[in-house]
Amino acid sequence: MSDNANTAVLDKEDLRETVAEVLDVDEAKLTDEAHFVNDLGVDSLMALEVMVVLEKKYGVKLGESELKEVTSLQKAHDLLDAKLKAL
Amino acid sequence: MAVLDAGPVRAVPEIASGPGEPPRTVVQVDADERVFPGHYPGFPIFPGVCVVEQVRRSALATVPAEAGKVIVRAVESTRFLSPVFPGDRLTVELKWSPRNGAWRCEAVASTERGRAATVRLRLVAAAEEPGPAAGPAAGDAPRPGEGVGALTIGEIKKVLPHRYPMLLVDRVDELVPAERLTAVKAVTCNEPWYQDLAEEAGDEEHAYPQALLVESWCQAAGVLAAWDRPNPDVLSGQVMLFGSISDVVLARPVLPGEVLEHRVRLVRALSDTVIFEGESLSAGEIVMEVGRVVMAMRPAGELTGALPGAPAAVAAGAH
Repeated sequence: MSDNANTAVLDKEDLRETVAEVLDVDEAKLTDEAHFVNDLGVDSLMALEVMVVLEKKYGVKLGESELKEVTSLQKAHDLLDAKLKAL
Repeated sequence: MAVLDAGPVRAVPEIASGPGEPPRTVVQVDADERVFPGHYPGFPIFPGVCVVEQVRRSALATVPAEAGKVIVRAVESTRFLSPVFPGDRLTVELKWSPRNGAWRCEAVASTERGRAATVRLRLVAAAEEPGPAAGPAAGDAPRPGEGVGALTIGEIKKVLPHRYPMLLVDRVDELVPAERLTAVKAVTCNEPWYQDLAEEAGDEEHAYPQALLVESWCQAAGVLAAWDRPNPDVLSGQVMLFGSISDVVLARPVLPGEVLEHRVRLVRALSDTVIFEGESLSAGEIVMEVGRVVMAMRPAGELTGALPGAPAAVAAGAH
């Protein structure tokens, strides 16, 4: 399914809110550079959850190797930005 | 003991916090709870959805005065962190906050060994019942004829370790490996959850326990996850554990006599982790939407080793 008609545009604060909801952390703690694993205690299940939520929300497909690159909100933002520009 | 709500567990959480303190409840997990013989035979584990049920009851016992009468509309997130066993004492700490015209209740349920689950509920004014009808199911109706076919109850029992009264899938109508599944669950007032209901209980009180609706759907997902590597024994091999359940919207109560159709779709599979989504329908109308369920296959030793007093060798050696 690649229904791009009603997917969201990339906005960092909206992204922060979305990721914070999935990870169950305060938006204030989810700074741009906070490390998902080291600072926020994200495990592999949660990382996979973030991935499927972002894929659905932004209508992109993320690979397993890309999942490993996404270690902070800033990196998630940069990856999505690149993906959306390439569409 | 006559109770007013049908539910999978008998024990009722008691408020343990004083006035002005953040709400906190405690409840004993009695070994004679009726879920244990079937969850699982030979290795009783308090079902994750029953932890959610005790959080729900704790929430309803600590509703802020300004919220009035509320009902649970959605389980926004649930993360299962460690197993709960018979004899454990659950402590539930709750935090209420108003949010977008509804209420959010965040809870942490812990045993003596640490955190067992975190749960986030969305509650709305009871007057909104039956709530925004989700209406007829949208687009993704299963296309018949593509699957490997149906599974009978006997075949389901070869895949799932759950047994009476916790086996909550009656039949699988279609199974497309690694893609989707449609299963059927008939709700009847003969189920044990209705046993202690007070004589004066009306239809509302006969609503099928929300926790068991979720459990039933998750078991259907479990069939899709495990049908090609069936392991109806929780004491050996790879067992299926739920990591989290999120964005479950409970559209309306389900009553005895209804036949539920669970639709499960596999969203993503990565090594030993699978994510599912889907919904449950009754006569074509959506009664529950499931945003995502994360399931992981893990060595049985992770469960048996978590049992209090289990020798370390079990944790390391069983598989």
